[in-house]
Amino acid sequence: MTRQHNYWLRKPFSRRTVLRGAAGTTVGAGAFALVGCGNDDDDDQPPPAPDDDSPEATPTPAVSGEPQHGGELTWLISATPPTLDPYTQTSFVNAYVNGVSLSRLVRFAAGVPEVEPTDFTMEPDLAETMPETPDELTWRFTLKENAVFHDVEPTNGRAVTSEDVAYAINRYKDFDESVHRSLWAFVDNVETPDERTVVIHTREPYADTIQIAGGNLASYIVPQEHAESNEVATRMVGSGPFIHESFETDNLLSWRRNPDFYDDPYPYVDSTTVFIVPDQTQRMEQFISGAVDLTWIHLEEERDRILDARPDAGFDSQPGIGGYIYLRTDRPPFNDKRVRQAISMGIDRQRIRDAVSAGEGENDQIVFVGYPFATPVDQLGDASRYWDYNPEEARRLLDAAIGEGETISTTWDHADAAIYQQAYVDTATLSMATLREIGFDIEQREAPYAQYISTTYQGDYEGMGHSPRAVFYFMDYLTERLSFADGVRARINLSYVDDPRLEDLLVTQRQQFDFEERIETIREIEQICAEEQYEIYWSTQSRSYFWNPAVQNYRPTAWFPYTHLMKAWKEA
Amino acid sequence: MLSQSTACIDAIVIVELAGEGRRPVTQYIVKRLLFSVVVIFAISLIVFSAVRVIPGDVCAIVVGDRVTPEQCAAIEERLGLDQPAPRQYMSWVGGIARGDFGTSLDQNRAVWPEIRKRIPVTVQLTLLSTLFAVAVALPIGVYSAARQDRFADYFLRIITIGWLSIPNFWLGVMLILLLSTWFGYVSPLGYAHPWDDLSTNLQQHALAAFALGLALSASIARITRSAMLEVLRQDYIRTARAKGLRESLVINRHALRNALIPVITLFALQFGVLFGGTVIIETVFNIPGLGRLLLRSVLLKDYPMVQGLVLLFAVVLVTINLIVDISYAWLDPRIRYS
Repeated sequence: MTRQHNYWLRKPFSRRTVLRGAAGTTVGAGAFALVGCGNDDDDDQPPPAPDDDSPEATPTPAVSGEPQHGGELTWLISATPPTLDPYTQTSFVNAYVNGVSLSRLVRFAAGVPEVEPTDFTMEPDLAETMPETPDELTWRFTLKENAVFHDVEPTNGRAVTSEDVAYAINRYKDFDESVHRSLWAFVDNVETPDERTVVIHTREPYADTIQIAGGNLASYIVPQEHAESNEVATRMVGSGPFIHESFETDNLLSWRRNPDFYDDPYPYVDSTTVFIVPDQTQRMEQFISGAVDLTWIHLEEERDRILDARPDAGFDSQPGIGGYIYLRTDRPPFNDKRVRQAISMGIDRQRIRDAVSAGEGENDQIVFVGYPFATPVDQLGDASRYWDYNPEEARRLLDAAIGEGETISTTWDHADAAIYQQAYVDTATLSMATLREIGFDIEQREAPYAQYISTTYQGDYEGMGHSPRAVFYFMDYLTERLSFADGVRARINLSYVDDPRLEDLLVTQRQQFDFEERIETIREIEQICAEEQYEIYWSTQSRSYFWNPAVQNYRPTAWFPYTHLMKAWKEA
Repeated sequence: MLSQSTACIDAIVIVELAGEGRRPVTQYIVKRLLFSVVVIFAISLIVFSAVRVIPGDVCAIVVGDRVTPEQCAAIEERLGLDQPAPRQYMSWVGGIARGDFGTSLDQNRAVWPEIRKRIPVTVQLTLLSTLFAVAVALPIGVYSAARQDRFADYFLRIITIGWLSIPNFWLGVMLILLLSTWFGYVSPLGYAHPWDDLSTNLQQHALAAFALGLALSASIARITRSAMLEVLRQDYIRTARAKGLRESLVINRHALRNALIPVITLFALQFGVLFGGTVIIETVFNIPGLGRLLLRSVLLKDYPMVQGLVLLFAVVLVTINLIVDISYAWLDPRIRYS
């Protein structure tokens, strides 16, 4: 496909947008976790509050000196990957480490100083160039001639062929235990006319094909001989920049440089190690002490402490998506949009921000306001008033919907703070407090994460619930949130949205290759969601990234894979 | 003094020394062992049932939120979770009898090797915590008793109450923050085996052992003080002093040993708390031991791993209580079992 056709390739986020993200509320590090493990969201970028006084991200870090080979890069993650098998897991932690060892057809260009962290742009990975698209249903990739798998068992350095790529896509698409089948459902078949050519035929024009082929999840090429072995859960074998050496649960994963990597001169460093450190304080202090090269955090207080203690460190702050409320719009009383609007107006978002995120962040909506193409909430027309805290108007809407003076008894299910952190729980508790004032009798039901993710988050709840969400790297994620096509609720359509107007628009947008045209469709979706309040959004959050100043040619990225470590080097 | 210990251990009776042989001790141990088996069996049933009663679908937890009902059914079949609970239980117990604790739902790892690998880590942490607690608590308790109602006594009692009041997870976080802020010190990342790098290993455990052992040391110090005060009022202590023995000899040789029985009883009772504390402390201090494994397994609802770990914890606690009961006879020759 040509660059003109794929606007993701030519629509980098502006620096201004990224810097705006220095604001933002936080739902805690766990929120990030949610994303992958069970939530739909994950990375994002947002806009700033007008009175925002949060620290500004540093300018794009300069690269000093010539690239240097050698040394080790160390970094931190908060949880042990549930498995290293990319075919059967949706955890964000998986994606972090899979991207170090495993290749994709294309990869995010972000991760170097000249590319904004939230830029979706893809660049060739295993593919020699970006794909050719003779028509809107055909995507032809040519593999790099020197692409070989790691020189370890069971691949022993053999060439990567088109059959390996076809196997991976088909496994994501058809394997019984694949959890990514819906993601690749747009593919009709994969052809392999020769050892280096892969042709993907789609069922319909699908504008996000490149994003899926190089995205956070379901994009990694693991050869059949390893994918079907017992070791796939605990060992990575692929063709990426680093060869996986060890995986010690609750301790670390380590890699060494792949000397046969196809993209010379990468990687620059000889090895990399990620330490699994669940405690946020420990992560923060380890970075401050200089024990590790890279880290990221959510909490504003911790960010400020690192800024004070390590003024020399590289720093970038990105906005992220906060949480949202979902409710059963398929049954009373939430099938009445006036009730949903009342809920939105009954929440004091600014006070919540003051309480949980040092006042940082701004109102968010269905299309994450950090996207450069998203409509800011205050520009949503008449519907923007639903984000204003207005208990009188909220009560008036309730009176009209359920009768004067009547109250609504309902439940609110959510996970405890163990994974999603305390701010996630506090946000809900504070919201419930003001909703009770306007006539909601809410039973707060807190459950352990495991219980929540496998019940409430699967749509098994009665009244209301809330969750963090991730920033997605393809616009068609809206379908996953809003579609009820053919009577089948989409994966994370937790509000049971079933709106024919949206259904048509969702189909339209994913077939639009022209960016401006697609954005117009997206705006219509935004307007409907704003008016209907199918999902009720709080505020954006912040994510702060720090790195050792000796690390050069590095910049954090909002995307999961740590593939970009290959481009960084350490000054002696 | 003895009333305190015997209140806790009702199987122990004090009898006259004359004419007693060793057989009652053997009978007692056998009886306790049999009873321990019953306790462990009951615990295994409770644990097995409890992890299954918790709502939630293990497939969604283990695989992720994109899992479909069909996929879940296939996974449950593969893992044997579609079998009736009694059959699953029998299969689990039968496996344990053969040394097979099953396979973790997380990463498909065998349960026992994973547990076995972490046992030394947690044992080292709890031993270090215990050593710290005892090393600090006994001198404080003895000194406090010897200086009853003086400034030192009041001061130490206030200090130990303070230690008791500090949650270990908070103390852990404070230790990390303060040592880093004041001295730029953080414990080394990763995990070093003691036989590979003892210095690094001890650094990785020291703060955690301190955070875990502080509350225990406070409890031991307070019970030591109480027991010492009771012993110091006994006639034989008065006699020892009347004979002209040095005070240090009176306290260390005559009083302390007799004061240790309630201390050891307390230790046995507190060991469960200490073991449970590793769940949080190992997480805070990034120590890959059993506690951290248990926390992760519970969050993932990893049945086989949770069952294996809780059973192990139960066996350890039952064994420690048994050892403590038996040790009474060594500590106080007047005690015999019947």
